[in-house]
Amino acid sequence: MNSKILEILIITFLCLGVSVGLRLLSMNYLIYILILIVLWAYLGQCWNICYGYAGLLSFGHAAFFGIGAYVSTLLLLGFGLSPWIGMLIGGSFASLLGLVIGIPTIKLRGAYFALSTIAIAEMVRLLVLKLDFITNGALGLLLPPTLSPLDFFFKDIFQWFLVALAMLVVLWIISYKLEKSKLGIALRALKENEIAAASLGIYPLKYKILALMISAFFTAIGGVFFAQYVGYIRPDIVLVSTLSDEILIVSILGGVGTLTGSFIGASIFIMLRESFRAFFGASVMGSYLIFYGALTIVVVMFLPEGIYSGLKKLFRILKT
Amino acid sequence: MLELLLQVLIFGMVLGTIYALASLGMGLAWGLMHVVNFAHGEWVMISMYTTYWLSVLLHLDPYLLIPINAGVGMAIGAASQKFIFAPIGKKGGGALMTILSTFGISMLMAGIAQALWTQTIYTLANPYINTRLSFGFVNISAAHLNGLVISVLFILIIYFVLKKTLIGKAILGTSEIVGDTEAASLMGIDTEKIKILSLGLAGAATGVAGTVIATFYYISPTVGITWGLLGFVVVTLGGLGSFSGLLISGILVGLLEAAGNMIFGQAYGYILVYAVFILVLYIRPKGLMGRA
Repeated sequence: MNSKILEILIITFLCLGVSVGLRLLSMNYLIYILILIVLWAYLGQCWNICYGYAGLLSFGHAAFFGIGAYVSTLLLLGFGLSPWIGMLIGGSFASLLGLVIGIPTIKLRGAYFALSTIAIAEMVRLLVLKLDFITNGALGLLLPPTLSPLDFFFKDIFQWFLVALAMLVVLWIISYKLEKSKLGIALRALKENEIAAASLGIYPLKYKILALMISAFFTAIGGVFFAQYVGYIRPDIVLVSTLSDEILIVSILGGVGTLTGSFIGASIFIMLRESFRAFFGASVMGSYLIFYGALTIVVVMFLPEGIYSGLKKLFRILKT
Repeated sequence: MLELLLQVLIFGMVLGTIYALASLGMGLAWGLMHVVNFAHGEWVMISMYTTYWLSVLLHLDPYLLIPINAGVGMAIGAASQKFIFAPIGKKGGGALMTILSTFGISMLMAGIAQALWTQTIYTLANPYINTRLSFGFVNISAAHLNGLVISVLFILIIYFVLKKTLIGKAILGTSEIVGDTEAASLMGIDTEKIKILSLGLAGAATGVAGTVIATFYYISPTVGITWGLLGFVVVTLGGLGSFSGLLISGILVGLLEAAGNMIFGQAYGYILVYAVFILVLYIRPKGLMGRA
């Protein structure tokens, strides 16, 4: 069996085993933590499709996340449309936004794309705040508590966990297929040598935009999950820049360009973040940002390939 | 109507010139050393806070703090190059890794500002912002007019330092051959030192800008994103490596923002600026006066 599929299976069954154990002990708080880890691993992998596969550095993934959350919630509240369908529409909107940012900036150097992701995320946040007759502005939107599983709503935290895990596994399978597909091969060729690849007829723009749109689509679906799970969305929760920061950190901490690295990144990041919250809490405002900033600098300077690659090297040394 | 138009026009141009100064530091780091500094806005923010606290605690006129802030900014810039960007470059990290590290610095600084001064919004009480000068129909505060004068002066100073002094020529020379360490060493230039100096210069410019901005703009830990994005927009719009481009695009952005705020209402000015910026990237990615 392929080692990548093996990794996916191991992590999936590990998660299932741990969650069933926690369920039997009825430790709901830890299941909640597990949901966070799985969701952040999912988002990290979405970001990884963008940066790890296509070399597009995004600082604004919260925009895609927030668009997914807002579009599906507005469709549900306004037209009673089930988020199972709404998530496809929200994802399409996010993809479209990716297309709009991507076309002018991807052919330029990396900094322009990175910058426009920040600008677009800020624009989306401001628009959602300003168009309060649609979005209810800074107050946000509240989901009615009378929803059924048909409306992407579950009573039991364990069911939420299963849905999150299913989403992660689906994303992994899609990413795996992606790596093997023509798109994945083209992207790898572009990463090796863009000029050589272009001379063979692999046009960077087309493939990179496709990767960005896929990444945006799935990030938006992550936003839909979050909106349904929390039941409440607000611009300063789902469109805030710290969310973009977290998604990015999870991915680079785990290891960009890998399949399961984001899960390792998310596990470490969420555990660090939650213990950080327990120790410092709200007593020191801004402590999160200090933590995020320091973590990013440390990873970039000392662990540029992420923990996943470090662990792999360690295994190889132990074997010999 | 004409009066209003004139007011918007003049105010936009004054504000825009200050924007050119606010973006100078980013233009220098990017144009000279290819460091795209995502912490630029936070560097401005730190200078705004030092201006606030030093002038409140020492009862000093904010403009007297310009040398101190330039020094603090220079230290931040030089230290970032020496301890973060240079080691990343040595390990073979590409441009994107440097960008990621500047992004980390921006989060770190915004966090430190929040931890030290909470999310309270400060405004620096100073005599200049309340002194309104009238020229016919047009009303402008002394803070903005002083900002205009300081901006023009400082941009000219940096221009002459780069073009006329020996150090400036060494910096420009190194910026041509950055990335080509062999060529640099053949010419006997200590490129590491020049890079540190250049980033120091960028930091100093940012420090001066922060002092000017603090006299008329609110100060908060999240204010960095506004000035960081503005720096990007102005530098890109003007084109890398062009001083006249920087001034023109600064003024253009100032006008756009003033017009947007007038036509659509507050806060829409920024949305208009970002939208036009993305449009410009479609049409002319190298900026108005850029060298390809």
